Amino acid sequence: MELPAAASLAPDTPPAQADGRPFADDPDWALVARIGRRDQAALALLYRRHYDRLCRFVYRVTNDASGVDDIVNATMLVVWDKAPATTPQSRVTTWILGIAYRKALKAAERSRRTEHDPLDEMDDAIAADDSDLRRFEADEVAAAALRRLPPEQRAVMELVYHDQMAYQDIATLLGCPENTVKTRIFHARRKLRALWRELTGAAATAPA
Amino acid sequence: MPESTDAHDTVQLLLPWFANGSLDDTERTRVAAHLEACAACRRQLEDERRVAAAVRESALPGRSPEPALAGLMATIAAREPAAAKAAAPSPTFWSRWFARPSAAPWPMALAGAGALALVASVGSLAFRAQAPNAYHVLSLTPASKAVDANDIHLVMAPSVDPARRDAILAIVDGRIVDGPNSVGAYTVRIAASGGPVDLTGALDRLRGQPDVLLAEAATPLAMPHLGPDLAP
Repeated sequence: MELPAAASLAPDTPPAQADGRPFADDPDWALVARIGRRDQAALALLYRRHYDRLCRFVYRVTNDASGVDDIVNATMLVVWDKAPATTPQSRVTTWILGIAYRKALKAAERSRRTEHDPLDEMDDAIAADDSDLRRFEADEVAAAALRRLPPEQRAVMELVYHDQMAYQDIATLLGCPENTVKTRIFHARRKLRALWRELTGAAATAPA
Repeated sequence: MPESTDAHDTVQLLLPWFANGSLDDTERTRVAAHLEACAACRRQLEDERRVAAAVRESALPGRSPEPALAGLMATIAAREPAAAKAAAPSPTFWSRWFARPSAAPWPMALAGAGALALVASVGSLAFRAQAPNAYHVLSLTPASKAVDANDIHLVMAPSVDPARRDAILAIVDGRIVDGPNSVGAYTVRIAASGGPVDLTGALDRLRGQPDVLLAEAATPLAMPHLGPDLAP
């Protein structure tokens, strides 16, 4: 029996990353501890470090660039409020993105109920005139297809393909079972293929 | 031996994480072994790389976090005034006093300045209350028609009532010739009963009163203790 493998599978190990290191090793937790002591400089540091990733993720979920900063700030305000009582149960990124996910999802649901999606212009152009299709690069079609996925699926796409997160971390972030994460992206991929065919016309070849 | 459908399905669900490199050793090995045998999964893995590229490329343009960060910090400062005050330089007695509601708008730059600047400012404000142009006269000449060499600028605590005010004035045999101005400063003239006025002694007596916040000579030449460089 290989000892390292056995150790990593022991049931009593503290919350740890896939490689077995405890989450507390994430240096960002030291920043969160300082934030818990009301250190605003530490908050600014954490904010700058995570801003790009948070903006991308929130935008992916909401499809609304104008509301991104508001959601990012609401997220970091929760970080500020909860820092004194938070212990390392995941990486800091996972914790923060989880807060952002719930806030972004609420915003996406609000706009889904109240507004026509204004970001479908290119989709409409594609649908209106197939002969114009060659004007659009493949990645633009892919982007249009991505935008048409439900926000829950877009979130998982971003976390897997941009943030390269493990499914265990995504499950923690979303607060759902690991199997749900796996099937959600499976369905997202299937839907993406269907959208691609829809956007490029049945005759065109899917990117597979 | 052909793999079971279950094994194929399991691996298929893991392919996104095989592609992004986050599987642990056990699962990675298992997926890699299946890929050797399964052409469908190999095609899907290729597809994974295309989707990953599409997701990475379609995104918000990068921008500076600073404007949004400033907004967050303002939100926190507004929610937690006590914490914000603790972080700021501790307010001086004078900034507190001038911030009281009854005081008229006061240039905030002066709020943290030393008493010396305040003496000059109270003087100029007291004087401006009666003659807008006289500020320049005050700063250039020892005395003018409006301000006597025996004049004092006096600021009393807001709690001082008229009776107490008269009692304070009586200590130095003074009478009010102007004020109060917008910051509550009076110009008090010390009676010259016979000989020269002991202005320094009068100021000392006034400063000895607990409810006298400020007592200074109104004219620069009457403040020898400040020295030539410091006189306004």
